[in-house]
Amino acid sequence: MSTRETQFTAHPALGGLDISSDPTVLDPNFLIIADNIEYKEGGQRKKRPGHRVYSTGMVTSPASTATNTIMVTTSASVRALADFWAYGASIVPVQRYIAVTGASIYQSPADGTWSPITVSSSFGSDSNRTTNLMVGGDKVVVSDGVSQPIAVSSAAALVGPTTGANWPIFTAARYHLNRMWYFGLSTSPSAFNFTAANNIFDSTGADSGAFTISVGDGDAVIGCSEPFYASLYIFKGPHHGDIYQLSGKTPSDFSLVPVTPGAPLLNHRALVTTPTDIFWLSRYGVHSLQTTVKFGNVEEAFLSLPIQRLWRDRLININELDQAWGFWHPIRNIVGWCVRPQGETNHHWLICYNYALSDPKPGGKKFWSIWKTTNVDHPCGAVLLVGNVDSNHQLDPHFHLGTMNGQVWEGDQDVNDAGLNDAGQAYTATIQIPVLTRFKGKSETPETSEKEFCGLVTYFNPKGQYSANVSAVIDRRTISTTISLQGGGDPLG
Amino acid sequence: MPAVFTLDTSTLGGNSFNYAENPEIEDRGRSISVTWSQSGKNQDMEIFGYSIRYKETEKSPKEQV
Repeated sequence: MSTRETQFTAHPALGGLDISSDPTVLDPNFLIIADNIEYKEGGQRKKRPGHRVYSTGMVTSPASTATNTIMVTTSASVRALADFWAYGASIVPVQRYIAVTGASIYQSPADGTWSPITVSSSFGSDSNRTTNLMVGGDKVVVSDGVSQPIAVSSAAALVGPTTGANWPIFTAARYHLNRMWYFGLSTSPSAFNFTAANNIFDSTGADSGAFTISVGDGDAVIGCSEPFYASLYIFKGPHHGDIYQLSGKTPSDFSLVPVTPGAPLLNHRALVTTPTDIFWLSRYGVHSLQTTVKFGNVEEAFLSLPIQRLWRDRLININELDQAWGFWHPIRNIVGWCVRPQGETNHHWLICYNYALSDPKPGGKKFWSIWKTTNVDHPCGAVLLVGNVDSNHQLDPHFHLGTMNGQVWEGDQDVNDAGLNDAGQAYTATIQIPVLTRFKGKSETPETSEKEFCGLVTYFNPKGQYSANVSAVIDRRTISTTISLQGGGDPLG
Repeated sequence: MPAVFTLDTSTLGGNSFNYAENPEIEDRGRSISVTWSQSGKNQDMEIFGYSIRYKETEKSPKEQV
């Protein structure tokens, strides 16, 4: 190194993704591309985990098509997934995955096989993207806003209400205070109804009831949170958007108060409840209840401000956001939403927000990344606990994705590098730093000065005999090379 | 399989670290941006950070014509 040479170092990575700001004003540890990566606890940028086809052969073959892997046909959409633990009167629960695929309802004892619960074409239509599963009362209630809702019993049989009248047609439901709260009624869009306590089938008895929430305000009841600090949060949309809080323990003291206007939810499935916050996707961006209440529902409070170009420049298909769905992945500290990129036909971008690293305040660093799968549509997804299909990971929460080919993918395949594929397909992890113009070396070198660049040093966690492509753009000229991910360590002399 | 942790022997915290030098990233200009990508099937990448080696040259650079 000549005596005139200096260096500029960006230490590990405590900067998130920002595709909306001028790239020359960002700190050097920010990213302007973060595709197929996740942020580890120190901010390291690591290739995201892969996915295997959920099947009995998944441990040895990521693209396994073992018997009973495919539900209905290879062109059927898996449109809802849930993890159903039924206790009944036994202290030992039974685990089942429940899936709605095509127009059928399936179950799996978490062993890698699917079987239909009843005859095919028993529920709704393949194209419905508002299909919801509610676990409560030792049942899974299946609803889609169009078809007559039905329940799956702990014995994996279809059952309907046995008390009073049948349920009305509704879109989705939550289980709270031993009652089912259901909404999105096909005949009463502002209704928010509840069943009797301890009987989700009793929707008309003396202990059941109903609210109507700002009827005629131009919106319908679109979604409802999981129980959150003893309350339910009810979201109207999809046009103006208002949020209401329902609290109380019994019908005589149930009360409903408005919380905040704006930020309309578009789909119940895009509402994500975690133990500390409620997140949702709107036509304007991504929001959280804590952030909105604390900082106001103005744009600066959007959690998605650093990736606002997705909405503002329509890089995602805004008209298809009502089909987006969200998830919470507790062991990776992310919440995320599956959206459709503009100009494409599949929902296959997962925009992921790492809430553990991010600062939700306006202007705080936000750690976003975009996970992109290839040639596949994901109509739904959920975090399910692994069953005996993979004894090494039993009870681990793994992210599962529905597909449009009758299969479910199981994610979190990163215990060794052999899992870094999507059902056998490679995917590319890419990070790009901002355009750096001002360098703080021995002395500050300003934007206007010419620099003679004479090398790049990359710091990484050695993973194997792999390489990465490196591309540097100096002004408008590109230099491409590769680096060994085994690394150096034997300087001359 | 998860790594085995042996009390009083194994190291808590990360100790895997290395670097790669690319002296061929060499040119003159006012700005630089760098992209890393890894597209191999079953191949990993975990980036910590980076350094850029440079010399300050012309304070008022002249453009090529």
